Amino acid sequence: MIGNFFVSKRTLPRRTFLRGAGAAIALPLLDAMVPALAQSAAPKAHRLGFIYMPNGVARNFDGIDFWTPKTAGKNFELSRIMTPLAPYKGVLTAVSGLAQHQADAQNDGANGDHTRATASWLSGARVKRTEGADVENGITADQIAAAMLGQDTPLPSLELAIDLNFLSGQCENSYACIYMNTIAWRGKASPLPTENNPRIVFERLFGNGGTTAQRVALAHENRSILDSVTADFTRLKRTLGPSDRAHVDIYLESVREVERRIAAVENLGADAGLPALERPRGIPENFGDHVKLMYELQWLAFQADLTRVVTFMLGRELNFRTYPEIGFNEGHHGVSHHGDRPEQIEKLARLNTYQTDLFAWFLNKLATTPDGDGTLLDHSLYLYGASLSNPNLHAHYDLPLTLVGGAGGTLEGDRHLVFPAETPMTNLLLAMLDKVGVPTESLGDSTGPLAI
Amino acid sequence: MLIRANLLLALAGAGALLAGCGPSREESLAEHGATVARYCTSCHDDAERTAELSLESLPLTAVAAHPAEWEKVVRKLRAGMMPPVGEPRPAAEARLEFVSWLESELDTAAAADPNPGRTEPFHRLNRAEYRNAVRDLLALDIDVAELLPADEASYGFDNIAGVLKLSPTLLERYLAAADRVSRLAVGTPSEFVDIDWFRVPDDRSQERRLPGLPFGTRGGTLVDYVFPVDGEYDIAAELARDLNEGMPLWAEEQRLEIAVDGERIALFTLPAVPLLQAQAANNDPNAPAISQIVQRFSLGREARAARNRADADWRVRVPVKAGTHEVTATFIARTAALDETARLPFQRPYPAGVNIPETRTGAYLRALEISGPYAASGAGDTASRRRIFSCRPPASGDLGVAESCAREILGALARRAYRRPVRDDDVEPLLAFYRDGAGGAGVTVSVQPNFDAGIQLALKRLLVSPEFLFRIERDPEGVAPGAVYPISDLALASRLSFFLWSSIPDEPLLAAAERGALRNRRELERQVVRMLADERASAFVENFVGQWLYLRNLDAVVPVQSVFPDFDDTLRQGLKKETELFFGSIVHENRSALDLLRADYTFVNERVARLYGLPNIKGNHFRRVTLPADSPRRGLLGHGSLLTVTSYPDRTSPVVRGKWILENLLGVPPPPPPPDVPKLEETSDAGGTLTLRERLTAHRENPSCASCHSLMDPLGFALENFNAVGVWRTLDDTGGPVDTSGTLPDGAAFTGVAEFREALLSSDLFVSTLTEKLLTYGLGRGVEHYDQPAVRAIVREAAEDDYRFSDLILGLVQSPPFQSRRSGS
Repeated sequence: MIGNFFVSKRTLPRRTFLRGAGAAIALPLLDAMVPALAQSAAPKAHRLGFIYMPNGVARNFDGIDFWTPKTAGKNFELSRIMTPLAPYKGVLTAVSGLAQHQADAQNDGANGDHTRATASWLSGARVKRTEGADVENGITADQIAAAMLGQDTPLPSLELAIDLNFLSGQCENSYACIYMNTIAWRGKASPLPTENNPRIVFERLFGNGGTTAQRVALAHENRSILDSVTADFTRLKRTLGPSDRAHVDIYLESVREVERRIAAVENLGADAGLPALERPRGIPENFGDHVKLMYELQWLAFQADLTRVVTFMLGRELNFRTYPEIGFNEGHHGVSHHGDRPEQIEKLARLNTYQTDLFAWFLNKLATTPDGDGTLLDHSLYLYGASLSNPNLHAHYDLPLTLVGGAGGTLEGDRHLVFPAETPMTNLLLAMLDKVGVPTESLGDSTGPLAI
Repeated sequence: MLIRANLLLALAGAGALLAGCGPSREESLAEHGATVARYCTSCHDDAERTAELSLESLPLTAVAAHPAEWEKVVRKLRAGMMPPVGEPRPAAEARLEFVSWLESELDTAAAADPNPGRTEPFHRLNRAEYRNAVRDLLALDIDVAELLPADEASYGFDNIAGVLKLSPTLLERYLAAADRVSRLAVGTPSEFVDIDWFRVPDDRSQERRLPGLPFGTRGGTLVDYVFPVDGEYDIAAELARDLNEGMPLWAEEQRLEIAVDGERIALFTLPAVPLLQAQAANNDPNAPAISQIVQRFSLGREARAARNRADADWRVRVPVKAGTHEVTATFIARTAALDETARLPFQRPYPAGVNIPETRTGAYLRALEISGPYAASGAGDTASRRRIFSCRPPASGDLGVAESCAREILGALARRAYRRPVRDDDVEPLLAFYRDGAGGAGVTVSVQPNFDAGIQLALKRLLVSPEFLFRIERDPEGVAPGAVYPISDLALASRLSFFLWSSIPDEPLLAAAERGALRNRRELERQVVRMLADERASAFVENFVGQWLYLRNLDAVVPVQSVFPDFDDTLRQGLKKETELFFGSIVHENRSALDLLRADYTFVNERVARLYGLPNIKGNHFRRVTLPADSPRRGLLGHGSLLTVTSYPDRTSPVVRGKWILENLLGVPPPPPPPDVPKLEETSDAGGTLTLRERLTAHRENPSCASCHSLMDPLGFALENFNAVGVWRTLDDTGGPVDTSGTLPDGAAFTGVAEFREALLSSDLFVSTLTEKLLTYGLGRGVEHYDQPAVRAIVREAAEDDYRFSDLILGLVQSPPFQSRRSGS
């Protein structure tokens, strides 16, 4: 409607618990969905997370580097950007020297550096240069883990983001936008869409509310609708030419996966308690508030064992966001091409430290939440980093990467490991998969798991 | 007469005609062969294969055998990009003669053996289409962004079938959306209360009356809300705070009125802070401005805490009938006397923070919340219910009669939703859910609530049917693999309605398709003209223009406060509206597509006019204004909307603007650099003393940068007289005079936006590019080399009457790619 242009759009809404007087709405029994929380979450269940910083970090190759710790080995000195992580240094392993070769231009032309950076970060595969239906990447490390760790949870994995690409012309030439919108690929041709609206994530995790009986009835209703939809697809398939039938098979896979999720919801226990949650109203205007809310949802999902694998993009490559709350008033991507000007790199340092601050806020939640015989942080393994080091050059080597979390006691912390230049980053991903009990032969361009 | 009956004949004829007069074919071949040998094959030979193209082994005698390669050549030659500036180049005339010859060769071959390409068999409705389909099917306006995730885009649009996939997560959302939509439409009370929250953008000024709200008010918001059932609802308001989440202190009391359909249901008052009032009344000429008083003044801790909670109980419960009602929350305007003392430094409101003074002169609304229903008392009488319930179950309680009523209702819904006639096996699955929802066999369904519940569940089921969620194009039975066939009339109707309305066909269009009338040129023309005149065509402006011109991005652009203190949401929405109105006028008045660049008019309200320096425009409403001949605002290139979305938040970017022009106006996206260039070199400016132009010039000295940037940057400089929010300027950010000289890809030099506009108009690239974008959007697939003959034919036809917009649309919908399809192999 072009009519009344100032009418509020319902972009930021709904179903929050009412505050203050007259909040006569019953707590929509979220608890019904959540299995006994603190009491009996599966002990030592591995949680795995990947956090992606867009547009690289504050450094150049000429003496300025606010990311890389100055010393290596045990008891290393945290860099400026890592300072907020000091309380968790005991479970932190900084990793330097790795490269994501599949993000390099090679024979694909020099544009597309941001696209390949995003898409290859967890796949180590070379994406196909196309804008069409034939997008292609490799399966990503998080999804290899989700196939194992996510079998018993309602959601095999959760894909979160801060930016969503609803903008025109913000994708690199001759690459489909999807390559830059997600770091999670379930299969070669199956990118997983991300969600940036906390309210929608909340509803995916905890549903619309209602009593257990209502929720089960709804699950039952949805399941019988999906049965019927399956019949539709099967009927449809018969009317199609042979080359078109494969499409139907792909859709049916999605139907079956949703049926599996519904079954998992139906099987969840009905008698657990959850602290009174305030349903998020929508996307906060402030970056920090938004990021915190998304972290909080990860924390809730882990706590309630609704999922064990998460990817989270702190922004999209190329984004021109400003961060007025820290006085960062130019577009992020523009500043990242810092031209070696110290004042520009300084701005990036401030931003990266702010991002790390928010991460530390989340780690504090994990560290203070009991889980089995320890805390959530003890049983988690997070990779925090970027797919560009010096953003001015689109450099995909000596990547800024750090591991945080006890990984169920399999990872010794307080170390800065420096590997030979050009070591594929996928080797680190293989090592991570090992640590969370999903040993994997190879991933993309890997040559063998790193010794970490 | 909008369409010439001999379209295809003309297309075939044009080639034949060109080939038939003038020099003989042998002479042409010899001449053009010499051109290629002299100017092209020094780089594009088998040995070099620059840009992976060799013309050495592509004989001119068989141009049509290698359409992909030769279409590349055509594009580069048309744009004047080859041979590159600096290399030996043929005279423009010779170049154009050669490219025309190539085109006629390609077009003649295509006319004899057209390749319409193959759209994807499954084309999922995107989010906007889903919303519109629900609106047209159920007379229900939904906020789709709340229900479904955003869609992926490709080729610049988010309706590209190939990337509109169906993930499990999306299917879950479709289930949830179907549940909600069916309940809203039927008026089945949900098991729990719904709460909707409407946020007012922080950067929207609320100092004055907003359009649609009563005189004597200022600020606030207006929401058209769908109340699902008759019942009681809570309406609550929340005031905006300062940056520390404190309630600002105002010298006068602030009164907020809440109304439904214009009738006041509550008036809330935020008390004045008396001392301030006294200070203001003192009218001491040396007293600081009110905003500063507010900052200096502080309340005691308890009073402050109480004030921060002042709006906690701004909530009212009110009975409302089901249906759409206008809910408003707005402030009673201040007295004029105080208004005079209030100084408004900037249009954009700035809440107070540490060391930042408050610039708002009164309370602002942050959000309006509507929740309910409480004490639902019935489904009521809504537009949706009138649309759905074409019959009612009999009072007698006869199950059979009730079911045949359900069959009638669901059959009618399925016909519109599936966009085709329905059979029994379409309705049966729906009826099964109707029976389930109505309480199963044996329970009477004569009672309306049970009948409604049955229809609601069946509707939920319909809304997740593949036939609703996907446009499915099937190869006809028995067609040979890879053969070209005309798509069915029903498929054509869907293509038309999704192209022009982003929605399902209406009854007249569906009926015409069923009659087989759409193959009648006159009827097709009639339908297209009717559809373009219909208000649903606003979706075309919103979605096509919104993406082609990046207009949609405007909502995400937040120009930096310190540089653009006046840029607020009111201006942002105004700029967007200007471009929408302008494009709409081209469509509705059937103007030349070239008017998009050269029109002597635009649409402005006071805020936009002030940005443009146009005098004597007062008030919020938009009006058409004629622009003087020398106005830089003529055509799209002067629109603040486009100039803003192609800038960084703090400054202009000739690179971004140049790239936008190349891709969206000239149709020649910057090429990928050759594969053997070295890694990106540093572009170092450690001192930071260079102007933007100097820095970009230094950047282009690197060959790997230059191959793209030498095309992009010089175009962007044409618009350097417009700052990052579109204000005219003669000095750039560094304080030096703006230098707007640049060059087109073919080397032609220009200075300033007027010359640049003329250069664009004199080339035929703009209309071709627009046509390609229309075809991409209309088909939901990328435009390929084999579509180029069709694009040229559309442009050639439209040229006869100065490229009138409806001629472009009509040519497009009658073109082979729109009318037919290649079967799967």
